[in-house]
Amino acid sequence: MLNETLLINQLKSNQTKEQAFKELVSLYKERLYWHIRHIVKSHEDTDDVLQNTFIKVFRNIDNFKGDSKIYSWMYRIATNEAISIINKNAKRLQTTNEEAQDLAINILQSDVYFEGDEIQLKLQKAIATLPQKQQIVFNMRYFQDIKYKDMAEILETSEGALKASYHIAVKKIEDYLTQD
Amino acid sequence: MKKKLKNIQESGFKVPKTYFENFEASILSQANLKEKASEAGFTVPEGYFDEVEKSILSKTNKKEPTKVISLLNKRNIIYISSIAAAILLLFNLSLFNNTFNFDSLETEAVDDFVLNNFELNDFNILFSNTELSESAFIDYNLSDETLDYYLETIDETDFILD
Repeated sequence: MLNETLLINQLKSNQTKEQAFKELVSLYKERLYWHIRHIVKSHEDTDDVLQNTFIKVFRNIDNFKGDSKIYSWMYRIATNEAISIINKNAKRLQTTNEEAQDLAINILQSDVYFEGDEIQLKLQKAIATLPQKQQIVFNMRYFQDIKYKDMAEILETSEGALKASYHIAVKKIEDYLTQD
Repeated sequence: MKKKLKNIQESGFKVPKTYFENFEASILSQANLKEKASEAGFTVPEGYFDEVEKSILSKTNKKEPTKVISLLNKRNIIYISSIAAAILLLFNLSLFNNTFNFDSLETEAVDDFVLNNFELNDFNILFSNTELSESAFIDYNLSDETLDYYLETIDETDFILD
């Protein structure tokens, strides 16, 4: 059982920072990876975002006030970094975020790190039709099984609002998949 | 009249109107979806997670030494050099501007210099003729003004031999 207070104190102390950070990376790298991957879709972008996220965590650990769980804080940084990269890609391609996302999905088929079948590809397309925040809520609940309580802390939104958003998302996706 | 516990049939709690219908629909929808596609289909390169951990740690564990800000960085060297060059240029320019003007030199300054730094015999070298001829004195005519000035300014004590 992770002793959060102890870990945070170790992260803030120069002597124990290195070792504590190594532990933090080891503990959260996979969960954060998948959280990011569901947002940005490509492995390469995910790799960039994941590393940037941990570097930011390392550099800003002294600013972490402990007013939320440390993983909530890290997830929040990861989410923001992921959205930033989408914005950056869109800017580079001189398109909107939605168009950039659609493009990312369209190239998924030829992506060597996507082994989904036709339905899974269609599911990705369906998710892409949702508003960005709703996509994140859906991904966190559907693929990562994150509890609403934790999601509320990460996304700084009430549990009720998140539940409602999720159910609407599920309905929309189901409709999308059943059409044609 | 107080209600006795055994008489209370209802809890008093209420639910939103279509809650149960929506709940069921939602669960069913999710169940349907999960049946079709419970996974996203994303995969990861083999060994990636070990590699990424090493990569992250190598980027963050660069020992950040207490920042020693070297004064000899490129920017400072350029600053110092340019200031030095400017000072040098200033000196050089002021030297070149010193065109020596005889008008500005006071006669008194010259007199003092000659009297203080030269013996009478030092001037012997200026005489190219070793012998003085009489004609040198006859041919040269001193103007009356010059003679007057000489007579006025001579000091009798100069003729007293030491």
